[in-house]
Amino acid sequence: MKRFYSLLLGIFLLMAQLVHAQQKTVSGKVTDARDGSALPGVTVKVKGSNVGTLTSPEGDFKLNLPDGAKTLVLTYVGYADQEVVLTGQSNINVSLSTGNKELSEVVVIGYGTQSRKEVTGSISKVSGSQFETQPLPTFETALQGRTTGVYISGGSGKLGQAANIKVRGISSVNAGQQPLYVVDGVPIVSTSIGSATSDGEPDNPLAAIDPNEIESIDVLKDAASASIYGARGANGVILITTKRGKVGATKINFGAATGFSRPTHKQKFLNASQYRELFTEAATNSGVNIEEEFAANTGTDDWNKNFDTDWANAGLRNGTYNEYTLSINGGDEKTRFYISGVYNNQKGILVGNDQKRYGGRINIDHNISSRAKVGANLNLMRTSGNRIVPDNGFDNPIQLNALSPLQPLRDDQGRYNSSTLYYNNLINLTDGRNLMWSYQAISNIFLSFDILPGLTFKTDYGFNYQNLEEEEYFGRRTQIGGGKGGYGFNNQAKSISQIWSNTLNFVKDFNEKHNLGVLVGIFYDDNTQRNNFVQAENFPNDRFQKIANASKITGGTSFETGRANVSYISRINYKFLNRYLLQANVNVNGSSRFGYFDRKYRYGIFPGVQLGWIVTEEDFLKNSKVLSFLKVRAGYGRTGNDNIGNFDSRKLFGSINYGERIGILPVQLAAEDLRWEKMDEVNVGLDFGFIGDRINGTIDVYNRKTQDMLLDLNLPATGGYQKLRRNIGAMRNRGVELGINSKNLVGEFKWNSNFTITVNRNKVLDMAGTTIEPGTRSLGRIAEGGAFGYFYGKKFAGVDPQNGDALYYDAAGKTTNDWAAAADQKIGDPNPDFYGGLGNNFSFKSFYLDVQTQFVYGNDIFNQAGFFQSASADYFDNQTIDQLNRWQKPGDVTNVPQARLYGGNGTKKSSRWVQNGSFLRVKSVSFGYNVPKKFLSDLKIASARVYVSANNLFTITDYTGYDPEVNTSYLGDTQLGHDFYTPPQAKTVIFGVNVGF
Amino acid sequence: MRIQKYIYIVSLAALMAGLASCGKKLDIEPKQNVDANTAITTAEDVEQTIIGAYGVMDAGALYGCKLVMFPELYATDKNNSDKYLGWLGSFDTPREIANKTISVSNGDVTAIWIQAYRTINIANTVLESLDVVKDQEQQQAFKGEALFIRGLMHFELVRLFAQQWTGGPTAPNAEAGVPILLKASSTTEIASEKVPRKTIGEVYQQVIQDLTDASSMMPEDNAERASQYTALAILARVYLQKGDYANALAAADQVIQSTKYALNAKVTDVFETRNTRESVWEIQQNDQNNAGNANDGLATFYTNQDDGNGGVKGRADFVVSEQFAATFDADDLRGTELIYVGTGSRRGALACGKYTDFGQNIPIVRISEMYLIRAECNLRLGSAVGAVPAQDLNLVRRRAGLADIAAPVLDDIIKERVFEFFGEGLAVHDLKRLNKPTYGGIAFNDRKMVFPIPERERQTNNLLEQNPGY
Repeated sequence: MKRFYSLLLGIFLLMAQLVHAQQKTVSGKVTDARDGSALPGVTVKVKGSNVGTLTSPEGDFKLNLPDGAKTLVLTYVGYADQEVVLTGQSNINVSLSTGNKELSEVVVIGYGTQSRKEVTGSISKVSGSQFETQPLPTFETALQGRTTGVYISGGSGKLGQAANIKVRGISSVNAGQQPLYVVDGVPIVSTSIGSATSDGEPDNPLAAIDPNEIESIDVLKDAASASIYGARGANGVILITTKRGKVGATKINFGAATGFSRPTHKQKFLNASQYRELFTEAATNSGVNIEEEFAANTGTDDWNKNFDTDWANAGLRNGTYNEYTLSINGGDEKTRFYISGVYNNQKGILVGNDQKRYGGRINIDHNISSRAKVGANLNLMRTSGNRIVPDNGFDNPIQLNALSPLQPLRDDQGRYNSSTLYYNNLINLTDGRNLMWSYQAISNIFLSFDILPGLTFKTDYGFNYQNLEEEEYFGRRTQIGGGKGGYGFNNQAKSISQIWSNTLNFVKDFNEKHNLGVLVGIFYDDNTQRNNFVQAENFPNDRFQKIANASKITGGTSFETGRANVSYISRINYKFLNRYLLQANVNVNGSSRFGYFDRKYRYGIFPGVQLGWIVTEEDFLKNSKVLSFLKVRAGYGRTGNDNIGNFDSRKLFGSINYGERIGILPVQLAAEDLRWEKMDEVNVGLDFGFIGDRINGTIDVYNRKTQDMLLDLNLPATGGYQKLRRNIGAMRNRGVELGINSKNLVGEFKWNSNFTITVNRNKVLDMAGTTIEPGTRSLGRIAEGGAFGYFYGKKFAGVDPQNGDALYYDAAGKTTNDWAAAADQKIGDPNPDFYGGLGNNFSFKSFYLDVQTQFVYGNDIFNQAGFFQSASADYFDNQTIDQLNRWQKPGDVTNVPQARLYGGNGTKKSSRWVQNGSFLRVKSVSFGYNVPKKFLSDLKIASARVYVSANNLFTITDYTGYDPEVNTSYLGDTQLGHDFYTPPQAKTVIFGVNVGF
Repeated sequence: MRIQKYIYIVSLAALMAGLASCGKKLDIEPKQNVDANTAITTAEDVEQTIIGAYGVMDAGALYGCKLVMFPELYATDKNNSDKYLGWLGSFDTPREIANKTISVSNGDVTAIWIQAYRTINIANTVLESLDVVKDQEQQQAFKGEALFIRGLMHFELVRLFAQQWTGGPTAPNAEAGVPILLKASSTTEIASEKVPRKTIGEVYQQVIQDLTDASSMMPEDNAERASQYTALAILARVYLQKGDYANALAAADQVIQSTKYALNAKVTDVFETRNTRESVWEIQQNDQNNAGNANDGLATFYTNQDDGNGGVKGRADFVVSEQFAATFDADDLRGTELIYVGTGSRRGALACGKYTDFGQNIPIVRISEMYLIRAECNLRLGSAVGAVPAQDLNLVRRRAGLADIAAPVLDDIIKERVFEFFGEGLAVHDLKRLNKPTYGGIAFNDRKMVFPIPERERQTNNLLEQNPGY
């Protein structure tokens, strides 16, 4: 490998030698075509090279021209690119106009950028300006409905919880489904680093990224594009670019927003009289005495009292939202800076759940000389809050809906009642705390140097540091701390990543016809994670809450793990006659997770090839009035996945405690030939624009196949092990994506629309004979021939009108009341048939209105809580209101079996609790007013905007649970579309103001 | 200019070459684990691997909870028991056991299977690593201990996942038992082998072989770990289970004759104090290392107490029925001291007071069981090995505050076992060996009285036939 790169380096230097020669100078001024005002910060570049500069605050520029420079290219955000042919003039004045914005948009492609016009891959982009007035739970939400090929499910309404993101379907079973996140070139650790022993929902490192400082989010969807990140590109790559300083007068921007939030929807449960009616009937049907049974199970005589408690809503409340942001940016040709800070404080819709985020960022660019540039991005963000437990914990406030309305909220001393059927977790509000603090830095420094005209060397060192502290105290009246004199827990987790990349970039035009770009480089990154925790019991009283106050240490650990990756990158971009495009790249990637037994498994080769043809540059279409832009493109690429445990291939011993002793034991078998999971994809696309690009859009068709999947092969447990990591199996995702933007009205009253729709079909092709079965209470199965996680189990057939028994379908399609005799079959699919969004943007004079909708169609949801809450009064859990439609007498036709206490009538796992999860949601609405400049100039204010905006304003769905945008996190990656007391999303309305000075 | 250029070239080349050596940084070693090939190199390593097997046996799936609690729930009439001990909790896996509606995917049943075979593999790993133990005496001791663990686990498996031994001690019992594993999974290939079920007769034969060998090799004293008398005590249980009273008598008598064990003064002592003389073998736990204090562990499910600080201790899911409590003689200290009215999660419900502290040890074999086995076998065989039946029985009764029975009949001894060991995991095994129905009237050999072979096992090993009825 070393030799190969030495050779490449030689070739580079040779090429650079050829172009190195005399220089001359050109200067000029750039103005705005609208009003002739100077435009500062415009990029002026010699076409086909990286020789360039930025205009001064007065719009002036001066540039040393390399020999053979023939054309200048001027680019400026929000304005159309403009080219100026050099004919020997020494002074050039140019005016830029806003125009064909979409096509001049710059797209980030990994180790570089590209004009949208020349992009040959499938890349979705969302600009920060598209969501700057929207309160985002986490930044990923910005992609919802606005991007094709990216499926995002918010998961739940817990603050800061990770959204579920799938780029072009699910490509991997056991090796992670999360895309790779790269912030300003720094890949970040996006999975939870918190302790598995904590009682909190897994932390989400992405919550530390402040949406306000994002300039753009680019999603590399196809493998040909993502393969530049070969190693970890199989689930797509999400590139986040933060805002940078611009040349010109210093701009100060201040924003303030305040608002409130409510649950999107509440579920309906029985009130006291309905509960009494149903359970009395259920007990009678089962031949037991309701009073005695209620007393035995709750330890109270509440059956005979007169309480009527609305437990279902006791865990929900109205939340608040407050945010203040400040950013300062400016600079001159030599130095530019961007400084921002944010304070965000949210009170969640779940009792006991809140989150604060504050921190800031400094991005600096400095030109040391005309050839050398240096820059730094420094960021530190603190996130802290009171956390909620995972959905399956009795401490989850939504689980309060299981409590009987006959039991009081508070006891006779006014404290939260502790004599309830299940634990009354409201006690945690007064007697417990579950806190987290996270500090995250995503920073890098870089230096670039033009070795020769057209040849640039860049070195970039970055790090991503996370420190998570989790602290819990649960007092004596709580479930966790009861019986042990209080319980304390403290965990410190660190994740330290460092990244060092070195690239050589060569750009050159030959004869105006050939544009060549070559990139080679080496990229190294590693990650170390450490954590240590201690837990303790027996505190003097509940006012002492630190481990120092405890007498009994009941657990503790220190833990460390690490990994490293190295990639050798190369990429060639070639453009001929401005219309024929070629991009080829190869990434050779090595992972510390492979190759312990045999080095040949350590490295993977990940190539990508893309071709494009801008048809409208051809003479026969150049002057078409209707078709303003047409590009066809095709690509093939291979990406890899090594997202498994750091030492999954190793044959290992571990340790285990036994009383006062410590023992050792075998814990893992060797997987000698473990290697990269590979994903091959073919992508064909079309970019088009009609009528001067007033209607433009993109269509992509793809077929991606994952092979050598890093699957956990189940072993017979008789050998002492349950599973072994192997490269087996294959999976396919095929799909079509369509995105259209249109400018419906362009006059004073402007109306733009965007529409996206994505169809993806997943099929598991090969599992090497193994299956991943749903488990006791889940339905998602992974098996050959089916879609990932399709619902598999018994099919509920309603109720026998004669006797009220629950019925199921047997193999012959006949009904039976014997659950065990019913046939296991496909009973649903959590994968949507299609999803997308429609956005409309209106503006009239200084007013604007943005409405973004999101739709998901054809997916099923399994309400796992149905076992308890919609179970024909099988146990004392409060029941959903639909259980009142139970069968009561022969002849009744209903879908709710006869109520039978302890009767197990229809309470086994079946499609009884599977529902259609399709929904249409108004995801965000933003209405604002830009105060005209004439009112502001006297106030020394440059700009001002007031707005009101809302998230999840309303939802149309048939799903009767809390919220169709649901995915419980406690079941892991293989169970999709499961709802288990999962909190609903928040409906948030905020009022905000932005002022620029 | 020229010189400057060469500087670039040289420095760049150096940089690229330096980076190319990044490959070496990809060699990273795990921190909490060690490579299996070098894990066992000394006698100490072998001993620690034996302790590792004990560690697994303390899992909630094994003696930490389920091997103790499930035989009780399996014997009862229904989850909200009228007649014996019951289950009121929301976990449905124990409820399925109590109600005899066990599904093939019952997570706890599956876990028992998995953890028992995991323990067996550790024992086999020890057996195949003995050549690093140079001291012959020590080597014998370790070998015996590993054989004891292997035999014990096979016994627990065969009596839960296969039909009760029938037809007397010499009957063939050719119905399906469980797979017998005598080889360590030293390679991935061995670990992946599909092993079929052996017959019940073959499994018992292997169990007896292992335990007999173990009893001849293990030390008389082995600190808090199993000794040769533990192996003999378990052997007595095994023989009793297959109706081989002569051998059961001999093994139990040997344990008693060792004089290492004696009844404690109070019935509660063995549960309140660690490693008392009454215990032949206890699973060791402490506050830090135990089977659980929230969702698993015996104290978690059995305890029903007010913690004195306004909170409650234990989930109190495992309850004692009023009717069963009423069968105790009013003077029986086991009824008055080891059954109490709950003051915790299920106030007013009766609870079994044997496991009330999350970190307490779990007695697996007590000397009182040996006395009662000797009494039963002597009575059945009309012999008086060691003592006459009345003497052994009354020893246990007197300690419980009860009057002597001068001329006991078999039923007196069987009843005594119920009062002495309720809640400790002997119930269903006794019912089965005595061919008695459960408290709910289900025959001992009913298909429901055998655990199903876990679904996950049958999916990974097509040689495993399912038990009838599942």
